[in-house]
Amino acid sequence: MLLLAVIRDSPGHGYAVIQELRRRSNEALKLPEGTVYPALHRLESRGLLRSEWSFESNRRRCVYSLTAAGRSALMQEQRAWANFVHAVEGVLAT
Amino acid sequence: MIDRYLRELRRRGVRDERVLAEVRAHLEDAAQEGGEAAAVEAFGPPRVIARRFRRPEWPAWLVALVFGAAIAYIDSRPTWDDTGVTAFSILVVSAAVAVLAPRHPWRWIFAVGAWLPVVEITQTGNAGSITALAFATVGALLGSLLSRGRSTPAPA
Repeated sequence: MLLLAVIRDSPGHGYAVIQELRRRSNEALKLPEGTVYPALHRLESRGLLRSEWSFESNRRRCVYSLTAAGRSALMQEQRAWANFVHAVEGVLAT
Repeated sequence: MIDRYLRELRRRGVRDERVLAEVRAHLEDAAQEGGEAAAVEAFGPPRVIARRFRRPEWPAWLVALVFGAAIAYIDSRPTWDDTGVTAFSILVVSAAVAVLAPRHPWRWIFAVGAWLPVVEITQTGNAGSITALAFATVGALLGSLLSRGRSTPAPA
């Protein structure tokens, strides 16, 4: 869900996605960077992402963007997450 | 250091050229910011990363063990008398599983080819069937070579 959310707002290559994830989480999400790529590939094979090779700054880069299926999967995940947070907050508040 | 890291991933079974090109681009980007050593460290240990990139191997194990056992069972039937078909089947199954999981092809020699000699030796004491391992060896090596040839090419 986190990867889909980052890529929805700023399609980019793996390194940029990881940097953005780190920036948005205030450095809280510091995964071993190599573990993000298999996750990106899984999302791509499930049709939630598409990738395209481009040539930027003299380097080939695989740029990921969200598909329509990825967009709707993200919306579903966001709804499920909001419900979960709401439920937990309800329990903690009592 | 980046080249060494990529060699290590390849040695650990990551042979997809697209993946390796992507990892190289990432490490070069990261190295520009903090140096190659930091880039490689942040990417994660090759042992862990290679495992994440590799396809799961349980389908290959399932095919190897089930087909290896089935071939040995059929060959042990008194009505079966076609060594050529048995040998060819062992070769084809070994090649197929080595294509599915090309790392350490020697595993498939035993997973596919060992059933027949084990059954034959325990039932009849005939050690000649150990030649099944030779057919499994040829199949596993062929499959492994075939798999290297069909990995996703690096983008042009």
